[in-house]
This record gives sequence, C-alpha cells and structure tokens, in this order.
Amino acid sequence: MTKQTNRSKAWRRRLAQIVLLMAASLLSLSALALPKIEQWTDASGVPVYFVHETVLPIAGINLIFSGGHAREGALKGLSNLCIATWGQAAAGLDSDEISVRFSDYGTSYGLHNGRDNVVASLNSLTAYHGNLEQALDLFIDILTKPDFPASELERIKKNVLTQLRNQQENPGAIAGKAFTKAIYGDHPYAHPGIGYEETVSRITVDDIRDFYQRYIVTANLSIAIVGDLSRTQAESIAHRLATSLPAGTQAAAIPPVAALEQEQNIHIPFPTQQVHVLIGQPLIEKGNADFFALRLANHVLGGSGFGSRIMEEVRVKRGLAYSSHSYFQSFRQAGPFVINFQTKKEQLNEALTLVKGLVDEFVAAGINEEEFALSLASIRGNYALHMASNQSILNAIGTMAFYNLGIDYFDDYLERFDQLDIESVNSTIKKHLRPQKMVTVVVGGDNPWQ
Amino acid sequence: MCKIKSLIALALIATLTTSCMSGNQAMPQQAASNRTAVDAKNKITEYTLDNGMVVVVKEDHRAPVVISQLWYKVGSSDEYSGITGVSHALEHMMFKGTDRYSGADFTAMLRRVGARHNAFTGSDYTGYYQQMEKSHWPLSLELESDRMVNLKLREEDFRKEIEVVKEERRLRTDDQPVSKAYEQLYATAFNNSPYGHPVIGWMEDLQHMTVADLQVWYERWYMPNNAVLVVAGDVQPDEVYERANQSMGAIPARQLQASKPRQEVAQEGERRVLMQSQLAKKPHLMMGYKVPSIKAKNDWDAAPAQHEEWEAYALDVLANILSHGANSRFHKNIVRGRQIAIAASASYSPYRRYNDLFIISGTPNLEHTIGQLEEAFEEEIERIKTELIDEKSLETVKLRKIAHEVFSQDSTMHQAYKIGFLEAIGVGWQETSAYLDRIQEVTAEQVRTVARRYLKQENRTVVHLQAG
Repeated sequence: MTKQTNRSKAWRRRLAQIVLLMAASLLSLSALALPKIEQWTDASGVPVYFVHETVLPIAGINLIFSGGHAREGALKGLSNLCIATWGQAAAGLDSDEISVRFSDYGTSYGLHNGRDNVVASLNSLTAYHGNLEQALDLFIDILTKPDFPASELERIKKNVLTQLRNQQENPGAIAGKAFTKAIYGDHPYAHPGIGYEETVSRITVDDIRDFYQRYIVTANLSIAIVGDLSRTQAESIAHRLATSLPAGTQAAAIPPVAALEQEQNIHIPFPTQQVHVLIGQPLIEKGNADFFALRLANHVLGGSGFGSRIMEEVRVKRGLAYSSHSYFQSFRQAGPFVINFQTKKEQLNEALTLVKGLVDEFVAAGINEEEFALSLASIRGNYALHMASNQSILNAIGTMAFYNLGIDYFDDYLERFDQLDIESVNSTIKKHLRPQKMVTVVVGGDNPWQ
Repeated sequence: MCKIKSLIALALIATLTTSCMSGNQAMPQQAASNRTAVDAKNKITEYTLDNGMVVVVKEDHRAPVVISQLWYKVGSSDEYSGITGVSHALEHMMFKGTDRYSGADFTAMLRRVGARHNAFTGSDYTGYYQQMEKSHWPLSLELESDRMVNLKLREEDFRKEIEVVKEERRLRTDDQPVSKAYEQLYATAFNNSPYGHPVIGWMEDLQHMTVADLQVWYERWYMPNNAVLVVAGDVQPDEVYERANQSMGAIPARQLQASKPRQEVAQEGERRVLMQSQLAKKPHLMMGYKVPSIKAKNDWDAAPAQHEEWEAYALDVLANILSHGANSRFHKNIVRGRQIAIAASASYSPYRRYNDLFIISGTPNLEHTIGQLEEAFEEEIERIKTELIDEKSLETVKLRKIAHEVFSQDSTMHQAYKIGFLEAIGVGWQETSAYLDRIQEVTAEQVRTVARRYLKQENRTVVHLQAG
C-alpha cells in the first residue's frame, strides 16, 4: 500500500510574496511546505517512511525496533548492556576494524537504547563510489551477526558500574531517578536505563543474546529513511534490511501507567550549594488526542523559555534560578510531566512555595485569552524550525512510523492547534494535571517538609 | 589518496547543488560596492558597512528558515582581575530592554513569531542569535540594532539578574567537581594569559560587580565596528545587506580601545594540582599542554619564536589519532585493551585568540588509580613521539574529517556559528573552506613533530581530582 502526501512547492512562491514583518498570527502557515513524506509497507510487512531530500549528498536510515529497557524484565540494565556490547564485535570484526571500515565508507553508525525501542542508525554519504552498498553490507553484518564476546561484556559492565558511581555525584541525576521511581511505582518505566549495581553485575552473555534474539526481528521493526536516494533505492535498501533479520514475533505491549493516588514529597540530603527540585506526574502517551491542548498549555506554563510563566516569575522577576522550566514527554505509555529548577539552598522554601502556587493557579484558573493567542502564534511560527534539517526530518518520521501516528500527522499538525479554543485547553489542563497528587523531589538543602 | 580526492570533490558537490530559490536579480549598486568578499562555491557573501560592521551571508535554501547571529568581539579574555565575568553578565542584561522595547516587549515580539533565541559568551566573543521562519527575520535586525546602542542598564534589573548569574555558576561549576577541576587547570596553567580566569567569572567578582561596571563594558565594546552579523538560511545576500545597512548602517562607528596584549609567560617546569572534592565520587585526571593556536595576525603577536602554521592542524590530527573513534590509541589500548579507564580523551581547538591547552583527560575505572591512568597516558605519548603513525590511521582521520564536513552542512546553525566564530576571533570565515585542505596536507612526520615539541612534561599542568 502506498500513500503520499503531496504538498506542492507553491509555498516557495507564496512565501516570497509575503510582506516581511507582517503579524505572524494572521499568516496561513499551515500551508507551509513540509517535506513530502512517502510511506509503504515492505513485502516483509515492515512499515517504511521515506523523505527524498537531494540538496546534500547524504542519507540517514533509522531502524526502530520495539524493545528497550521497559521490556527487559527483572534484569534492569539489560537493554543498555546489550546495545553497548553489540557494536563491539560482529561477523568476526572487532570494534577497531568496524570503526575504520565505516570511516573508509564515509559513514557512521549508532545503536541507541530507549524506553520503548532500540534504534540502529546509519548515516552515509550517498555519492561516493558505491560506498553505501559496502556500508550497508557491514551494517547488516552488525545487525545480524553480533559476536557478543564475554570479555567485552565484562569490560563494559565495569564501565557501567563506574558510570553508576559517577551519577552519585550528580544531584540532577539523583533527583531524576528518585522522581521517575516515585511517579511510576511498579511500572517498568520506573527504572533507569542504566540499571542498578546488583542487576548489572548479574547479567550474562546468554541474557544479552536472548534479549537481542527476542527483539531484533522483522516483526518488531519500523524503518525511516531521509536523503539523497531515489524511491527505488530506498525501497530496495529497506527490503534488504528488513529481510536480513529473522521474522520473529511482535514485542508484548507495555502496560498502561496508573494515575498517582496521593501526593508524595521526597527529600534527599546532598552537600551541594544548590537544591535540585522536580515536581510532576505521569501525563499522556504518544498519539493521545489531548497532546495539542497540553502542548499549548505547557507553552504558557513553562515550556517556552522567556515569556512563559515559570521562567518569568522564578528567574526574570525574582532571580531565584538560572534554569526553570516545565516540559512533558510521551512514550508508548504515559510519559512524565516535569517542572524543574535549581536554586541556592537558602531560598528553597521561597522558590518551592512560589512554583507550587503557580501550578495551583494554572490548574484552577487556566490560561487567559492573551496567552492563548500568543502561544498559538508562537507554535505556528516555530513549526518551520522543526523540519529544517535532514536529521530533524528523520527523527520526526521515525517517531511517526514507530508510534503509528498516521501519515497526515505533520500535515494536520497546525490545524489541530487551530481547532483548539481556550475553554478546551483549560478543561484539558484540569482533566490531566492533579497538583494535589504530584510528586515533589528535593535533592540538597534542608528538608522543606520538616 | 585517490579516495580522499574524490571525497573532497564530494564535499564540493554538496555545496554546489544547494538549490537557489529565485533567479537572477539586478544587483543594487550599493550592495555591490560594499561587497567585500564572495565565495560562490560555498554561497557565502561578505559585506562591510560604511561604519565598519561586517555582514556575512550564508545561503541555504533547503527550508524557509533564517538564523541571524550578531557577534561582538569581546569576551572574558578582555577582562582582568576584579571584573571577571563582566562580559557574560552584560550578555544577560542585554535582554532587559531599551526605552523603545522593554525586556518584556523584546520577549513577546520574538515569542509571537515563534523564534528560538538566546545568547552565548566565550573567552573571545559574545554572541546573540534568533532563528525563525524566514518572513520574520528582519525583526532580528530591529531588535539587535536597538540594543546595540540603546540598552538601559537599570540597577533594579541588575540586582536580580546577577543572582541568576550566580545560580548559573553554582549549577555549572561550583556543584560540579569536574568543571571545578577544569577551572583549576586553567587557573594554574595560565599566569598572565586571560584564559586563566573562567568565562562566568570568579564568585567574588560576581558578588562585587556593579551595574556601573557593565555600563563601562557596554560603552567600550558594543559598537558596529566591533560587531559581525551572520545571516544564514533562505535569504538573498544583497537583500540582507540592504536591510542590515538600513537598520545598522547609520549607527556611527566609534574609536575602539583594544585590549592590551596578555600573552602567557614561558612555563618553566611541570605544575601539579591535587584537588580534593567532597562532592566527587570518582577520581578524574586532566593534563593540559601549552600549544599554539591559529590566531588573527596582531601587531603584538609579531613576537619571536612564532609557531609555524601547520602545527595547529597537526595537533588537531594528533588529538584525533589519540582519541577519536574505536580505532584510536586511547580507546584501543587504555579503554579496551588494558581496561584502565572508562573514558579517555584528547581535545584541542585550533582557533583561539590566544594560545590554549591540548588537554588529555580521563576517568579510571573502579579497579585502577589515577596514577595508573597517568602512566598509561605517558606510555601512549611516548609511543607517538617515537614511532611514526601508520599511513592508514592518518588516512582514516582525514576521511572522517571530510565526511564530518559534509554531514555538518545539515545544520544551518552550525554553519553560521563557524563563520561568526572565525570572524569574531579575527581569523576570517574563509578559513572554513581552507581547514579541510590544511588537514589533508598534514603528514605523519608533522604529527610526531608536534607531539615531540609540545607534549612535554615541563610544558604541562596536571590536575588530579580525588574523590572525597
């Protein structure tokens, strides 16, 4: 099945006519050109998303497998260790030879461990003496014939244990781990991708191989390609990659995240000058229709830097912090909504009371007309910036493919904001945010609750 | 070598095939007469306004987006004891408004068009940028031309903002053992060079800084003849020139009082720092060797014992041989082979206003000490000083540099940044295309020569950060 979105290139002429410095909010930016996204299903059943971008002689390929550290079971840190050991040796080549060969082809590759997925990526020059073919051969060898040498696993485990020690000196990392654990409870998202000392020490080559064999399979794969390749080339590359792997079976679904039942306040003593504060809760999963209202709402609260409420009240008006924001992420299941700031320990209570008050007011009274209009204009104007490079397009269509957001997702993106009104935004805020049941983590300073 | 040549040709194609949005236009007379340099291949055009302000345009028509950066040639290396951090504090205060546009207006105008904007301060420059959908970009000029001359530095704003700067220092330096160790490395390595003090400033200087200090700094450095405007993206060069000339051309040039030279005194023997941090949970080692930089040609730089130009490129290749990629010496022998460190790196930035450090650093794993890691580094340095590197390793580094150059063209922001940075330190944006050629000319013998010449014990400062 093939479906294409065909936005004409008329926008180029159109934008050229636009008088400079005109008020942004009135422009029909939803007609702004997006890259033409092509989508098809490979004979193997793998969905492929492709954007033909010819200006630079480069191509990027992302293979996205359902997997990730939410699926590693009791052996926390397994997915991370699998990724780290995987690229070290394959098809009889060690990491030294792999690295030299990829450099010879004008290519680089990477493996990434996420919560929901594992991503293997290849970035290549496209116009250089058949290099892409050679790079693909090597990439497929790495994908399909990892050696997982026990000696490398032991070395990497030592590195991970040292990294875990490193994190103990980082108040931001300590706060993040405590926060994630508190908002997710028994859910697999509660655990850090790096794992724990006791679990990492226990992981064996067999565990890693099992994890690899379970998840790195065609049934679990989506492919995103951007770059200077023809549709035919892209089809053939996707087909080669998809069919190089065993068919396998789809990964089990990740369970939904439970809403928080009660407020939790956590203080962790730490000898820094500043305290690190995180406040929040789980919010929404990818594809949730409330995304648009929440995106706009968060833009007002603390998601857009200068001019957003938290930044203005905490930093600009009072000088209480350098960095003060709110943001939310979405995964296969609900990602976190987070407010964070750091302030010198002597003024923790002042800053904490201020920020909690801002959240209460935000949920109780919502945003006002002026904020609504300004944020809408801002999101519209900002949209062009998100598709300005091959890499950003690759990330966008990869997300679209993996989370099955629909081929029209980006075309319709701005229209979805246009359909909002202030009442719907404010009721969506009330529907999702529960200030009385949020988690607050404070690392450093005196316990503010004693 | 033929592989390398075809890759260079490829890097060239990358820039040649950049599509052009509009056809031929009649070149306005004035734009033509103020056009001071053109690189048609890379689509870079330079203009100089009558007041001395340099405008560099980099065309990239892939997306309807423009990035505008205004660079001032002032940074912490212009500062001296007692006022360290003043360039950075002023950068913060540049967002507090003028009589025409208040700080809140400034923020709201950029918000309304969905711009990304921020600023950055380094040892050799202070820069401000906005990135937005192309129809709005002249707003950048409107705001930047206003705050270049009309900034209102108010006591009340300053009192709050300096607290923000102190929080930034606590966040980025005081509560971070490795950052603090870097601060110690630079403070110990450099006696006379202004690179000895941190960009953000010493805390005591921040505590005693006044709004009057900032006023003096603003008046001394913020003027068109000390600024460079870089505009990159979906624009036409002459149009950028016309608009820049319209908004900034009438701002009068002023007499620029340049900083006095502060070249580092010769180092006579190794310096060692033992730093004990209560916060540190694991040790960290850093060794900084004094090395030459590629610099602007200054009057005061005509000192004896000048470095040869190729040295900086050879040092760049040396850093890559030591620590870039899984096939690098450090990774192969120290991280993977002997398993002494979890990370080991060599870093060097060729372009600086003054000479800087070539830094070798690493974190031993839990089974090894910082002393063992230092010994392992010593052995690798000894080896690179005796044996010539093999041609294959050299070629791999060169290939990577070329591929990296092509890949980096994907980021317009990065392209603009390179141009502005090279202009700000006085080397000139033309170096962006010369760099790859110079790197390709580096020989194995030259790499060994710079290692012998600079990676010497008496030329270094060593910091051991001990876990508390």
